[in-house]
Amino acid sequence: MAEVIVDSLTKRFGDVAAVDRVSLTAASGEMLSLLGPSGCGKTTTLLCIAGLERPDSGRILAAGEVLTDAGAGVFLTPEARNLGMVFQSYALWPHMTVFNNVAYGLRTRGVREPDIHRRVDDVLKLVQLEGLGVRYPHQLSGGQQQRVALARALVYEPRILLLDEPLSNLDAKLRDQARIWLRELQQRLKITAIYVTHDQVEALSLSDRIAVMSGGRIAQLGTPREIYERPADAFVADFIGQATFLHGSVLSQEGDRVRVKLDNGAQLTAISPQTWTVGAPVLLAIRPERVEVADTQPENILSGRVRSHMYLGARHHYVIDADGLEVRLEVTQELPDFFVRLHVPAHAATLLPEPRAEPGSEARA
Amino acid sequence: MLEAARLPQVRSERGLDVPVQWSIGLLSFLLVLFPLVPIVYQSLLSKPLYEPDRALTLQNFTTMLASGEFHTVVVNSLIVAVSTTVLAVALGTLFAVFVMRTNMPLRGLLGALVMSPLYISPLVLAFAWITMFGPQGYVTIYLRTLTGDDPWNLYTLAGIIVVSVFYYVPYAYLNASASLSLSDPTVEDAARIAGAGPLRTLLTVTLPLLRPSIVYSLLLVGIASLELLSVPLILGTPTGIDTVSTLLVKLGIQGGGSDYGAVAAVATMLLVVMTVLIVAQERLIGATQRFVTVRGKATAPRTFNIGGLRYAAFALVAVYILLGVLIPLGGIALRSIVGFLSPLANPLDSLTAENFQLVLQQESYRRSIINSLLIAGIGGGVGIIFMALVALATYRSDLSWRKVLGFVALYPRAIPGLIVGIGFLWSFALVRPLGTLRNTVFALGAAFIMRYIPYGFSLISPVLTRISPELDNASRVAGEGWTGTVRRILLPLLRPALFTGWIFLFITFLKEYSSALFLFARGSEVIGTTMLELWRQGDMGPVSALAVLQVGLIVTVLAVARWGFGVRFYG
Amino acid sequence: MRGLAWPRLITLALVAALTVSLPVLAAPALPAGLPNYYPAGYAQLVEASRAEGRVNVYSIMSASNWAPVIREFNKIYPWIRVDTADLGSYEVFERFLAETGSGAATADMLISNAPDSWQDLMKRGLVTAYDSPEKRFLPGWAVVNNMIYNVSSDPMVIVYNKKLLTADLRPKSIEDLARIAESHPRTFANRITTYDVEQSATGFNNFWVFIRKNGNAGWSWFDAIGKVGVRPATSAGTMIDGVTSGEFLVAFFTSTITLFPRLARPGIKDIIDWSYERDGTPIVLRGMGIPRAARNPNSAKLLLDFIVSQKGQIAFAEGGLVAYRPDAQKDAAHHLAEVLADIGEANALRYSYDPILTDAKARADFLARWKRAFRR
Repeated sequence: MAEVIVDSLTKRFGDVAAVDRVSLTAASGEMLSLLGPSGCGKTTTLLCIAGLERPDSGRILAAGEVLTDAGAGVFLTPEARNLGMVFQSYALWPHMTVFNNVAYGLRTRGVREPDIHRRVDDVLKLVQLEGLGVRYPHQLSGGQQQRVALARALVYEPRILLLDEPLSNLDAKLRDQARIWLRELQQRLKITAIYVTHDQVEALSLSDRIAVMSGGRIAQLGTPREIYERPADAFVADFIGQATFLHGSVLSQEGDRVRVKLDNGAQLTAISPQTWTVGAPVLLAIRPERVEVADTQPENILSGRVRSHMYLGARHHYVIDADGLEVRLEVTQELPDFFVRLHVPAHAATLLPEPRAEPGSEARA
Repeated sequence: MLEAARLPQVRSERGLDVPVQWSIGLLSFLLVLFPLVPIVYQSLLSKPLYEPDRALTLQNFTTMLASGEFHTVVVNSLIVAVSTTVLAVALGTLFAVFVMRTNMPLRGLLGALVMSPLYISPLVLAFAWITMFGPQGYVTIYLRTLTGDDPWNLYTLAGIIVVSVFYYVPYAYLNASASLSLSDPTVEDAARIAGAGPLRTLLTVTLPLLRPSIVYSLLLVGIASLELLSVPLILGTPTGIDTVSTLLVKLGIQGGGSDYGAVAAVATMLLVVMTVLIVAQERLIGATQRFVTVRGKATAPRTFNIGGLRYAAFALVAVYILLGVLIPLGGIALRSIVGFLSPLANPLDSLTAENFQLVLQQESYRRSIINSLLIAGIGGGVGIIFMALVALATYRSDLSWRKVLGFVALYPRAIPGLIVGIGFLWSFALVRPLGTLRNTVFALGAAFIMRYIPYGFSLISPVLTRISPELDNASRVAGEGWTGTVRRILLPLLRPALFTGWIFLFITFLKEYSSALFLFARGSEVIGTTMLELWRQGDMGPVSALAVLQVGLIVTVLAVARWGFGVRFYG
Repeated sequence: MRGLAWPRLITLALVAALTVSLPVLAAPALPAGLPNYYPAGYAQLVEASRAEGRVNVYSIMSASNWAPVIREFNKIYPWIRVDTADLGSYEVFERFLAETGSGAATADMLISNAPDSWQDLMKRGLVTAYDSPEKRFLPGWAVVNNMIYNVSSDPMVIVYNKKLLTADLRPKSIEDLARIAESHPRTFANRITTYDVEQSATGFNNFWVFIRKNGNAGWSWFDAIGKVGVRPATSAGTMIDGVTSGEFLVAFFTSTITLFPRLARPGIKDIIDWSYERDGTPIVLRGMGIPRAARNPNSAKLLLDFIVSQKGQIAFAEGGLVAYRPDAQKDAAHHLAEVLADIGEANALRYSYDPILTDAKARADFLARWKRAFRR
C-alpha cells in the first residue's frame, strides 16, 4: 500500500554524481536501510525522497503517487509529500515546547486544537514521554529528544517515515536500547520506513532489507543475512563486518564446491553457487569470527604465526601471518601458542571475483 | 492512536512561497536600483530629468572632466582619503597592540575611549571639533590671546584629515583588536622562548601577523573616507575647500542653481570608482568577510611587559583621547548650555537653557527629533526584519537567483549616502505615483534601510549559518511551506540577532544625515539635517544642543541594551 | 412607528433643516482680532483656510525670528499650523523649483532677499498675484507687481568686538574701516569678515547697492580692506559668533536680524557693539510671495496679510526684524524710521528689483571686481 519506489535516481553536485542511477523499492510496512560510508549517496537519496533535494533525473513514487519525476518536470515540495522524518540532529525547534514541536505538523494541517491535544498526548505516550510536553528541548536528555523527534514525525500519521541516522547522537548503551525500541515501534505501526545509517550493526539489527551504497550506487540490496553471509563484492564484504581478503585463482569446481589456489600456494575450498572458470583470479573473503583454531581438521588449513594480538574484553583479535598472507582471526579464548593452525570452513569463505579495474583497490586495504 | 480518522491534508500555503521569495528578491533589487537608475539616466541628459525638452548627451561628463575645479576636488578627495586612511590605520593598529598586548596603564578604559567615536555621528564630531579647535573655537582663541597668532587653522585639508582620522581610528582599532584577540598566543610564546624580548616579539611576530587585518582596515577606511561628507563639509566649505562629496552638495543644494547634469555626472563617476573599490575588496578579502564585527571569541589575553615604554604609550593614547574626544565633546556639551562661548568672558556667566528650549519647542526642530526617533525605532525594526528576509531568501530559499540577491544585498556599500539621497529624490520625480511619499519620513526610512542593507544582512547571515538547516527541513517535512517555516521557525530563532540588529540600526539611523540631506523636506527633517541647517545659519548653540541630545539618546539606548538585555557591540 | 407622535416628528425635521441651513443663513463672522477694514469676503478666505489647517514657509529667517509672529498669528487663527524653514537666499528657490519640477508638495509661501531670483520666478509665472487688504497702508516700494510683499527692512550693520578694539579702532563707516585697517594691518589681518558674495545673495546685494551709491570710492575702500585680509562667511550667525569669540574683530554688512536676538543673551553686550555704516547702510528687502503651486493658498494669504499688518510688523520686530510699515512705528521694537532718522534717507540703501540684477554679464563683471578687491 505505502510502498516507495525509487527509479533511476540521479543527483549531481557539479561534476560529481552523488547519487548515480539508484533504483530501489521499499515494500509497504518494510524497514529498508540505506547503509554506506559517508559520501556514498545514502543521505542524498533520502533527501531526494523527502523533497529536500531536487534530483537531476529519475522518479520517486510513494503509495502510487509520483513525488518526483524529473523527466516530466514533476517535483512536489517537501511539505506536500506527507512524510515523517527524523533528523540526525533531531532538529527540535529550541524555541518551542515539546508539545508545540509535536503539534507543529498538526497545526500545518489545520487540525482543531482539541484534536491536537488528544493526538499529541497519544503520540507522547507512544514514545513514553507522557507529561513532558511542557518542557523545552534543551531540558531533555538525548534519548528523550530523539523520541520527541520521532513523535513529531509520527503524529500526523505519515505513510512513510524517513530516518536520517537518528541514533548516531546517542551514546553506545542508549543506542542499543533505542534500536530495539525503534524496531518494535515500526513493526507495531506497520509504517514503511527508510533508514539511513553508516552503522552496520544498526542496519543489520533493524532492517528488513539493506541497500549497501557506495560511490552513489547500490552495491547490494538484500536481507541482513544475505548481505552478511553472501556479500556481493569485496566492498560489501569489507564494509559489513570484518573480512580477511585472500587473493588467488580457481583450480577446479565440483558442484558448489570451488577449489582455490592462494597466492602463497596454499589451497582452500569455498562454497559458491556460481560457476567459475578455471584459472580465473578470485578473492576469498573470510569473516574473522568464522575462522577456527583447530589441529584436527584435515583440510582448509592455514598455518602461521601470530603477528599481533588485541585484547577486546570478551574476545581476542589476532592477525596471523600465514606464509605471507595476512589472516585476521577473532576468538573467545586467548591463543596459547606462538604458531597456530587455522581452519577455514568452506561455508565461511565467500568467493568473489577479483576487482580487476583497480589492482590493490580499497577491498584489499 | 493510528486508528483515528484520517487527517486533513496539508494546508495549501505553499502557493505563496514562490511569490514571497520573489517579492523579497525583487524588492531588494528595486530598492537598490531605485536611486541608481535616475542618477545614471540624468548624467546623460541635457536638462533636469523632469523637464520635457531633455536630450541625451555626454556633455555633463566632458564638461566636468575638463573643469579645473573638478580636478582640484578630485585631488583634494584623494589627499584626504589616502592620508586619513594611512594615519587612522597606523594609529588604530598601534593602539590595539597597546591595549591588547602590553601592560599600558588603564588600558581597558583607554580602549573603550578610543572606540567611543563609533557611537557618535561624524557630524557631531566635526561640530565638537570646531567648537574647540575651529577658527572661533575656545582653545584656538585662547591660545591666540597668549601668543597673538593663530595656533593653527582647522579649515584646511590638514584639519579635515586630522578630524577624519579621529573618526576612523576606531574602525582600524576594532579590526586589529579582533584579530589580536582571535590570534593564537602560542606563536608569541614561541618567539619569547626563542629568545626575543617583549618589544622584539611585538615587532617581529605580533605586528606582521596583523597584516591581513591591516590590509582589510586600509580598504575599509579608504572606501569610507572617500565618501565622507560631514568633516569636509563643515571644515572645508567655509574656506572653499571642496571634496567630491561637498562638491555634490554645492552643485545640488547651495550656490547659484542646481545643475542636475553636473550633479549626476559627478555622482556617476563616484559610483563607478566606489564599485570598483568594493569589487576589489571582495576579491581581496573574500565575500564572506564580515565588516560589522559583533564579537569574536576571545582567548586568554597575553600581555607583554614593555617596561618604561608603557608610560610613553599611555601618554600617547591619553593625549589622543583628550584632544580628539574629551575636549571636543566636553566643549560641545558646554556650548549647548551657554549663550556664547569665548575666552573673553566666563562661560558660566551666560548659562542658558535657551538652546535646548529652542530645539525642543520650535515646531520643525522638535519634529526633526521625533522623526529621527521614528525612523530609528520603526524604520530600524522594519529594516532589520527586511534585511533578515533578504538573508533568508539568499541563504535559505530555493530562489533560482539567490546568488545574485546576495550580491545585490551587499552592493549598497558602494553607494555613498549623499548619492542614495539624490537618487531617491530623483526617482520620486520620475515615478509620479510615488511622489506623495516624497515629503514624508517614509522616503527617508526607505533610503536609510536601503543604504544599510549590507550591514543588517551581514549581521544576520553569520547567525543564520549557525542555525542548522535541519530545523527548516524538519518544518518543511512536517508540512509547512517556506513562508510558514520562516515565520514560525527561522524568524523566532533569529530573535536575539534581530534585536541586536535593531539596536544597531536604531543607533545608525539616529546618526544618519548624508542620505537625508537631499531627500528631506518640510515635515521629514531629521536631527542631522536640522543641525546642518542651523550650522549654515551660524547658530552653534542649538546645533550643540541637538548634538548633545543625539549623543545622549544613543548612550541611553546602548546602556539599556547592554545592561537591560545584555546586547554588546564591538566587544 | 406607532409610538412616534406626528408633532414630534415635525419638530425633529425643523431642527434638522435649521441645522443644515445655518451656515447659509448666517454669514460667517470674521475672527476676533482682525482689523475692521477687511472686506466682507475675507470671511470666505478664513473659512477655506480651516480645511487646510497649515501653511509651509520657506524663509531666510530663523525659528527665533518667527516665534512671536507665529504666536500672534495663532491667536487669530488657532487652526493654522505655521511651519517655517530657515534656508539660504537661493536655497529657498532651489528647493521650491526642484519640488514643483518633480511634482512634489512644496511651500505655500516663499520669503527671500534675492531680487534676481524673484524676478526670474515672476517672469516664469510661478507667483500668485494677490491684492492684500493691507496694501494701502504700505509704502509703494514694498509691493512688487502685486506678487511680492515686503516683510521687513533690515539694515546691514557693522559689528565689532569692543573688548579687543579700543574706541579709536571701532569703525563707524566703510571708509572708517578702510582707514583703520590700513593703518593697523597686523591687528586686522584676516580678522574682518562679511558675507561671501560668491555664495550668498545677501552678500551680493549688500555690495551692489553700496557700490551703486559710492562707485569707485567704494571700490577703493574695499580694495584697502581686502588688502589687509578678509575672511568672508556665509551666515551672519558665523560672523557675529566669530566677533563674540574673538576670531574676528569686525564684521561689516552683517544682518541685524541675527544680531538683535543675540544681543539679548546675557553677557554678550559686554563684548560686542554695533554701528550703521554711515556712508551707506544696505537695507535688506525680504520679499514674500505665494507660489501658484501652493497647496494651502488660503492660509498663505492669511499669513501674508498678517505679516504686513500692524500687529504682524510689531511681532516681527519683537523677533528681531526691522518693521517698515509706518503705523507700526510706535510699538515696534525696531523700525525703519529710526534707521532713517539716524543715517539719513540718502545712506539707507534699499535692495532693488532692478532688472540689471538678472543680467548674467553684469553680475559676472561685478563678481570679478569684488574678487579682485578681496583677493579671492
